[in-house]
Amino acid sequence: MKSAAQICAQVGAVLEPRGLKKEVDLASSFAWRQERTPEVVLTGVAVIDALTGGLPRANLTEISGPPSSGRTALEHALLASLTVNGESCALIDAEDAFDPVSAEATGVDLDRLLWVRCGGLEQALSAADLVLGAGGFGAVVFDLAGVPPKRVRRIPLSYWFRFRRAVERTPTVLALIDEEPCAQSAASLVLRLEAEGAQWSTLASSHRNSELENHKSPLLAGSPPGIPPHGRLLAGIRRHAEVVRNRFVVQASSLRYQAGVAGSMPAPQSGRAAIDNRQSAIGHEFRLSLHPGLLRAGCGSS
Amino acid sequence: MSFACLYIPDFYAQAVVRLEPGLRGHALAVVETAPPPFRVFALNEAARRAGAEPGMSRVEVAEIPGVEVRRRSPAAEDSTHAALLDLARSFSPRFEDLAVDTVTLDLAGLEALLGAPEEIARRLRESAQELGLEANVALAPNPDAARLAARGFAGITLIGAGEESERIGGLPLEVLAPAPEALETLERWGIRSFRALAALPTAELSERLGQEGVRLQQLARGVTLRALVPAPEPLHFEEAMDLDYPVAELDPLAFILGRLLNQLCARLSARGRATQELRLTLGVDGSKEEVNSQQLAVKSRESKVESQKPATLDSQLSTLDTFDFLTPRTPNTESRVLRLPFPTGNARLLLKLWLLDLEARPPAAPVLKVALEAEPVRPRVAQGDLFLPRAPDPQKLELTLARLKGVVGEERAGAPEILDTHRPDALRIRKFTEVGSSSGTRDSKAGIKKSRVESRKSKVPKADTRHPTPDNRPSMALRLFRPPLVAQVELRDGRPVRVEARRERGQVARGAVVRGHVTASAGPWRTSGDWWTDHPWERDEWDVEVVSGQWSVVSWPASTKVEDRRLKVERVQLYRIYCDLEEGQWFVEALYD
Repeated sequence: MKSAAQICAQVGAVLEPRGLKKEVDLASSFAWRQERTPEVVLTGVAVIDALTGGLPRANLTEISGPPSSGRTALEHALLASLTVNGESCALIDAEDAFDPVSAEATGVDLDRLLWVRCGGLEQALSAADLVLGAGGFGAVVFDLAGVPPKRVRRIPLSYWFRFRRAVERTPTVLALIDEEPCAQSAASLVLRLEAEGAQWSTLASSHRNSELENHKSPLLAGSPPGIPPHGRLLAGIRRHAEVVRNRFVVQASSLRYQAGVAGSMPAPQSGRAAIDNRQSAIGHEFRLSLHPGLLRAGCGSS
Repeated sequence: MSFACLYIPDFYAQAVVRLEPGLRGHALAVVETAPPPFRVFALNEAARRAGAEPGMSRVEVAEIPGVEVRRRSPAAEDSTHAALLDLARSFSPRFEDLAVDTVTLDLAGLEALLGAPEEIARRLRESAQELGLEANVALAPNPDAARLAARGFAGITLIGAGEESERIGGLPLEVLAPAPEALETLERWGIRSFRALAALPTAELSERLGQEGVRLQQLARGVTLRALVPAPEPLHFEEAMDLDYPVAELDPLAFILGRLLNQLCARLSARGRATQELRLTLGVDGSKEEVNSQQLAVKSRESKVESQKPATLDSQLSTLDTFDFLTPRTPNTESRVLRLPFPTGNARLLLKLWLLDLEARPPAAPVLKVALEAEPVRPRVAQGDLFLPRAPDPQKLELTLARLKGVVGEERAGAPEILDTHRPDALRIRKFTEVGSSSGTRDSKAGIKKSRVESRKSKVPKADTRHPTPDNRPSMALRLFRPPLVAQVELRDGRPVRVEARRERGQVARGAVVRGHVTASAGPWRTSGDWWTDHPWERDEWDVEVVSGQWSVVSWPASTKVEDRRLKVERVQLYRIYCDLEEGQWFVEALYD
């Protein structure tokens, strides 16, 4: 097997007659580059941070999962953790599905978010090229969650490598949100989320019970005390998170975690209280696991 | 030597050349704009040598080989004069606007700043060249001697104290620009130079020509003493160009804009200013049939292809045939404004932004006149700060936003702003600007201060996010369907038991999106609003859990074939649906994710 020095000399010999040798820095091109452990960004979702160690900057992170699996919640959490610290983020929204109200409730500073509302996959890819070329964003989220997996799989792999190349040596977290993993080895971290079922609670068991009773809602009229007709709330979703690929440090192999009903949330603006208060009463349950074989693969490359 | 004078010889020809640098070095004749006939109004030296003279008709001068003919451009003359004043102002706050082509500066105290008089004269001349003007520069102890020397001698002239009479003595009397009667009288006496006029006895000259004769003699001796009348300081930056032929394509328009922007930015720089707001006024050909934007876009694309081919004589002639030179033109004006979140004097950046704007919104008809006006502001004072958060470069960001506008459309890229109303999905898109960026103006110091405060706040220890606490759990996020999906909902006992919704034609991906049995639901929550307007709304919202069987490809083990990894799985999905009580129609509004 040829060494790097031999290959360097061979390439130099080819280029020299063409007068190109001086224009190409062969020594630095063939130099060994030590891959450093990147700086990470904690999403604020404790179980995900515990499982992944945080999302790496200067790398492509892929968050996959079917609808209702928590991809968007994780996306909002990432944007919130960066924007509250004053970093600007960009969201390339292929399907124009972003909900600023729920993002703001998560803590996203909307003033620091560049939202690109695309009208399809082609527009989204062009917009991603432009945003990544501008640079300077703390995170660029490429949201393809609503695009059918069949169409996403048709995107050439070279796109993902080009995007990853664009954020290399920059402090940008590039997050790809989709239904099925598609970036393959271009992604440094691939996180798979699954929804296992919803949790419903009656108003009697909810912490919002007293509030609703005090409000004297018409829905409560004529019903037994504490239990209105259809008297239950969407309390959360049981979810399953799995690290499919991690080129860097793996923090945990398996972890069970259950979240209750969310407590303190930012106070909504006047005029949106009715919808937001109901939304804030919703929590998640995560059950985390990491397949032993995948764990070995992740450790081996680090 | 405390006065300097800048004189632009052949000003009217240079004003044309300044905006059309390709004419530099060519013989040029400038003809009047008022027809008919088009008489030669001004010439440059090369045209004079070729035999052209003022007053010749356009046809006559066109027959002289090597002489280019251009129409006089009052807009270009105004902007050239303004550029000359800006140049003078950048050297000295005390200057006198003597004529359209002449400006005199008071240099008192400038030696300490700029160096010897030779150095000052050299810098003045070089600055004029940067503005595209070839200037005569003269330094003298009094302003009139400087003016006469600049008008009489080409290049740089330095006149020391006491040398005035000797140095300017050889100049012809025409440089003094006396009244025609006085000039005729003096010529009849055989007086043709300053030196001869200066030698005449003053009393006898006064008896024959009056006070005008004495004034001319003092000027010829170079001994006048008067104070400068400083010009006011208007901060008005405008560059304009009248086009001989209408321009219907974006590529040639880009060249014109580039020249104007270069000149404008040079003038701004000479005054120590930048700009944050530019106004582009296009005079479009009102007499022509309107060319719609699609045609212009097609022409622009075609011109890119055509520009790769060498222009043939036939094609040039056909272009000339299409424009009637004698028909009076009635341009209508189109104005557009470019506002930037930061001050800049970068002509390349401004040109790119204007081109992106013109590509997105082409002018309605061929362009006959282009005028650019800049609102001057103090330039950015950029100072890095280690403790400021990462942010995109404002110039790159502005360019990216303009390009994004071209890709996704107007008002589709920016910072979301939630409107203070109960109406669902009520938001607007604001222009995304970097909040508290590291490179801002003095005006944006407040933003920097705010960012610093936030930076300090961010250093306050937070709850450890690695351990679950009630405060760091994820909240539920919604993914909206815009517009909401029309749904068919089966009800039992007033509760939804089955939901089916499809995407309609024109949406991103067509086909069934939601289809399945409702296994659990919560609701209804009734909301309403805007009943006092023409668009009231009222609806009952439900949260529903839909279970549907879907084919899925599992990701592991990766070594097996895709077909073997396909499984039919029942998936739980949570939606927010609502019944529009005004229309009685069900919709799927959002997905909980």
